[in-house]
Amino acid sequence: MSATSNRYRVSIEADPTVPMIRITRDFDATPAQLMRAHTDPELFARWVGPDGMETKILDWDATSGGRWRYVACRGSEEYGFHGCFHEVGEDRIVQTFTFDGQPEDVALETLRFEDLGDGRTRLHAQSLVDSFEGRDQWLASGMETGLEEGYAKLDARVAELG
Amino acid sequence: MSQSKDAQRRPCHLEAEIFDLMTKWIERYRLQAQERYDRLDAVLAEMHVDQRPTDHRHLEQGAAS
Repeated sequence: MSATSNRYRVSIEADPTVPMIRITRDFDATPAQLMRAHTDPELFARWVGPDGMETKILDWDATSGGRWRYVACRGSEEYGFHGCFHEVGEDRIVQTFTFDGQPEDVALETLRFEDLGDGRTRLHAQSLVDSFEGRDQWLASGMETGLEEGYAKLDARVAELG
Repeated sequence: MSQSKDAQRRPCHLEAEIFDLMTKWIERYRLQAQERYDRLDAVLAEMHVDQRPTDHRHLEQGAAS
C-alpha cells in the first residue's frame, strides 16, 4: 500500500459565541486506528509536533484520569506541554491542554472519532479556552501579524474612528 | 469572524480589518493543522500495512521460485 493517501482538507471554525476552535478532518482509517494513533505514545510522537521538531514524550497514561506531558524540541529550543486525560472512551477523548509557558491557561479538548463506514472516520476536535483573547492568541501564535500587533492596529483604527 | 447582524452595524472598515486579520490567523492555523494531520495520514497508512494479513500465496510463490 502506498503511503500517499487522499489529502483530506482540514476545516476550522472559530465559534463567534464561545471561545472555542473546532476542527474537522476525514481519514482513511477506522475509529480504532485513529484512537490508537492518539493514545499510543510512540505513534502520537510521530505526527503531533510541528514540522521540523522532535516530540519527546515525558509522561503518558492514556486512560481516564491519566495524564500526559511532552516537549517539542529543535536544537536548543524546547516547548513543553502537559495535561490530563479526563476520559478515554471507545471513540472519544476528553483532555486538558496547557502550554508550560502559560501554565494558567488550560484548554479543554474533546476529540470524537465518527465512523463514516468503508474504513473512513471523521475527526471532530474542539478546544475550549478561557477567553476570546486567549482563543485569538492561540490562533495567532506564530503569525507574522501576531496578537499584540493586531490589537495595536485595531486600537489605532478605533482611535482614528473615535 | 462574526457575520452576525450586530457585527454588520459596526463601522465597516474596522469590521473588515478585524475580519482580514482573523481570516489570516485562521488560515495559518488551518495550514498547521493540515500539516499535522497529513503526518497522521502517513502514520495511519503504516498501521494499515502492519495490520494487513500476511499474503500466504505470495510467500509460497516466493519460496517456490
